Amino acid sequence: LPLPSSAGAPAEPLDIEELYRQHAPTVARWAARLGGPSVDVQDVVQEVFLVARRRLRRFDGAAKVTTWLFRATQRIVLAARRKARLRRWLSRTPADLAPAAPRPRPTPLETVERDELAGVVYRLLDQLPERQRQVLILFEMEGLGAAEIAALTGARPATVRVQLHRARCKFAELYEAWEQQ
Amino acid sequence: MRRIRTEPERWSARGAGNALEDSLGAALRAAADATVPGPADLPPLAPEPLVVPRRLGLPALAGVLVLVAGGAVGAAQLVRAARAAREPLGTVDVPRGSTVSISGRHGRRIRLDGPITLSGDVERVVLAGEGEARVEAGERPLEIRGPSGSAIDLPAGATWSGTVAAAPAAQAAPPAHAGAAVGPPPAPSLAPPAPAPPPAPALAAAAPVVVARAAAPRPERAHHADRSPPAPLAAPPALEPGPPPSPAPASGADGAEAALVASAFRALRAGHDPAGALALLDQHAARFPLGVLAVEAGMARVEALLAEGERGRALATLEALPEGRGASPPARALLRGELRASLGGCRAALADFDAALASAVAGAGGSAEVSARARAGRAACRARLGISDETLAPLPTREGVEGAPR
Repeated sequence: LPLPSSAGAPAEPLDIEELYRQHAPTVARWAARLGGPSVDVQDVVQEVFLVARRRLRRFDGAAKVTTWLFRATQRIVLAARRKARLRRWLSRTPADLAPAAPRPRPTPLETVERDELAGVVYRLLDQLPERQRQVLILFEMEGLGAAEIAALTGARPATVRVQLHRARCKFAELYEAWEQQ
Repeated sequence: MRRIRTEPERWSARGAGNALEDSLGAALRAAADATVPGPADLPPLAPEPLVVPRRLGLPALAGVLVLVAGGAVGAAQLVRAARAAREPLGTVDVPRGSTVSISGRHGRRIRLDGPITLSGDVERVVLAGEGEARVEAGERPLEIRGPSGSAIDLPAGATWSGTVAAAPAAQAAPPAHAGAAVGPPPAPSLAPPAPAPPPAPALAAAAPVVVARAAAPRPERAHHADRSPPAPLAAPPALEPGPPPSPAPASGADGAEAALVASAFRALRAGHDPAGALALLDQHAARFPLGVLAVEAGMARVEALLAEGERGRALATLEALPEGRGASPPARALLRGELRASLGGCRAALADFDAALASAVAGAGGSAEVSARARAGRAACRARLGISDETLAPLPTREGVEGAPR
């Protein structure tokens, strides 16, 4: 099916391998940032493109490919985080199983400290409402503007700005409280 | 409420200033740096999985209810049929010297496996159930003769039990082959009654004694080729079930066993004849039930059954095989998971995929393909078990999209 590419390039037939080649790195970055250390990025990428493969024929080009992929990533990450929360609850060791190191790797001290701090950030982010959490991550960590976030999430830019404002206030409160502990 | 018209400065990008905001910026930068995906986070695009997740909804629920109701009705019918099968179907007097061919219940013709010629004084055939028959001798000895010339002499008052093949009304089914499917068909199920002890005199007339009983026929393999094979696996497992044994091994029983298994592998892989391979494997199972190559033969059977499209039997065979030999642990776990997933057992399949991944990571013979397929299978099963609805992203309208994302 011909459809416009995300960059507005001339219409091209949509092919799953081409789609994967072009967008897998972006999807992996979204998955890593939105999901945090508790999410298996490889699994999310596989699931996103599994969905894409299944739904490819139904894609009518009404939306941008990136928007479509972001929605799938967002939902899969959300489901993965829910499962991770459930596992933490069942095992009753939140501090151990919550965001620890993102992935096993030989790390120098700085990397360990950075990963620990990242774990704290994601624990605090998890206390925000989902929309606010997502907007804050896309704004601060992905470096997207309100208009870009609105394009990806399907919200109005004004709504995104409000959510961002609330998210920053809440996150600052949480972070300050954590620092004072 | 104050309207927010502009975007704030990013904490993660701002310079030195407020201490709290500096600290927030540092923390967010650390989180961003720690979540940069590496090359290992980009697996190769997995092939199309065996399991295609479906959106569950009311139609599926209705389908499940219909299936459950149908299953209950079917089970009740099976129970009734089992009860009926235990009751004798009837007693028929057979003229002397004739070939027995009797119509049983439900409009089906039942014939003795042979055909069998009865000659003697008094003959009666008692149909004890579909698939079995008892021939009772009268006051004088009775001879039962099979087509190959084998004969059984029954003493007066004794009973012979044998196999009856059921066939559709207008069709005479060929004799069922018991045991191996290769080689000349065995003699019809006439077994000499000699080893049986003589009946007690007081019971001889009232309760006939079973003198001998032929083995129940196995399901026929000869019809495999006639069946239209079911849809093949979407991605036929490229698993190596261990090297086929050498066709010329040591000697004696081991050598014969290895030659038989090697012939089966040759028929399967070089001859592309899974039915022939299955026949050879049946022969192997009959001759070497405790053979040293039982596992290899089992893996060959799994491969042949998959080629035949018999996924259920392939899975059952695979599950019955002992661990430790044959295919590598990740490959075997992957195959088991894919088969279970394709047969609807996604929950059990998830454990297999996890085991395949764990073994592959541990270096127990796993390959990149095994890992990729295990991940794809796991993703498909997870989707089928619950994420499916959520992963189906609604397609946003063009109007809802403003600006291009990065």
